[in-house]
Amino acid sequence: MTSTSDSRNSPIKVDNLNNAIELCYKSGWTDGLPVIPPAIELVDAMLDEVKLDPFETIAEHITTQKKCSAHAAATNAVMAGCLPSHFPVVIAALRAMSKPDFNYHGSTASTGGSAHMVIVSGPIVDQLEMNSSGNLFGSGNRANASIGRAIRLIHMNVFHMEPNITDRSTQGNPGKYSLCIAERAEKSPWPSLNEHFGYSDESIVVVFAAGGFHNIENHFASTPEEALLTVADSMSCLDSLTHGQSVVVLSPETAEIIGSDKNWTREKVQEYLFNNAWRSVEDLERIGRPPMDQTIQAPEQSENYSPGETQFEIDQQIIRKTDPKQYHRGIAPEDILLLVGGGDAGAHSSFLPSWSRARNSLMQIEVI
Amino acid sequence: MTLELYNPKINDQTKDRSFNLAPRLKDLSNTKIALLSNGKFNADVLLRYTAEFFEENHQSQIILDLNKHSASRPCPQDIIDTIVRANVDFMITAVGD
Repeated sequence: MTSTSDSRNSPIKVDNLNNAIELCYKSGWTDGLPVIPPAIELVDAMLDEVKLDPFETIAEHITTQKKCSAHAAATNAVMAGCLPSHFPVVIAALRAMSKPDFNYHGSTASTGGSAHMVIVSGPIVDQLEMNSSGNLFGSGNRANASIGRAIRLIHMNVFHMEPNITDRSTQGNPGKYSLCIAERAEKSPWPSLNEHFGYSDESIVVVFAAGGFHNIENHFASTPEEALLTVADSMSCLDSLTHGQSVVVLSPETAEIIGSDKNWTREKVQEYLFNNAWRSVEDLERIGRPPMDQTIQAPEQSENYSPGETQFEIDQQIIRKTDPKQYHRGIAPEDILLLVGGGDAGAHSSFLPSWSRARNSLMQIEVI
Repeated sequence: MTLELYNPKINDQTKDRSFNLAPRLKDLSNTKIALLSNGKFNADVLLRYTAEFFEENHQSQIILDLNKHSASRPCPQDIIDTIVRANVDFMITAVGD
């Protein structure tokens, strides 16, 4: 097996570019698309950008105890098509994913098939000319595409989460090629995400183990309530109704409808979505699904108990409900990450549920 | 034009992954067992069914019946410590769904 030291000390000689591209295929280094052959001068330029020791550990899988060195990250970022200026975003995303609550290994190995989403917010969006506008989740921007792709190649080549070997996803996910978007802050009625999380002068990444992308369309909505009830309806579909977290990307058109009333703060929108994204226990039973809450016996003996409420334990957290028959998406309004992105035209927003049936991976933030 | 490429398929470990197997049991009769469910649906059913085999055929006794709650996370250290302290003869774990 090749270590960082082996990789640096024993470069592979190839006589021309075409053969180098084919070598990448034959060696099992690609995601199916051609890659930039990781020539030593390109990798070293990447490392120079971040001033990191090539042997410094950037991220690790707690379960497998595999680690990713700066050299390994840079080599795969080159193959993904990153420029050196993109590399700090890749490093920040890896560091965020390495935090224990992200559950890095589980979310890459599961049949659930999550894609690791990278959301970029702050001044670096413009500096890197990232796309936060039309075709936000689509193709066409080098920074978005290559940063997301670098993360995926690192999963495969460094953490060895290889399709159908260690990555056992049942159907995969288109986002497994690349899933990196930028926030369109100038169209947001609310503080940008970097400001919201307390990094006004800095840029951040938010990483999220994302399930499938739901397009949310309602061109007839003309009030905040109509627009948000449409979002909440998507969030409460039975196939993805879990206590996991959510990412909601509102289109600029929809954000404008909601933001036209200044009473609709980000917190109020999160609360409205949480309160309306639920299904009844009877609905769950109709599809043969038992509620995953465990009712706590004698809740009146616990701290901060209010008469009339039912308490549940979810992943060792105590959750209070006034109506035990309502099964919500998430366990609190803050579980919904709300941002604005996409082109000017069209009431097309999106909802991405978290991977898995519970809270096995929680989104993480890192300063770039 | 000759190109020199770094190998991107890298395998660095934070720790030595080698381990030793526990000594094999020569006799299963009257053994003490710990059960550990991975937390998915039906893992407990599979565990119980398997444990009954040892109870009926080897007069084994279930000392611990534990659940690590999250199938996709490593087993919490306090659960591992509990099993170690119980000094059982062997442990059965099950993956359900």
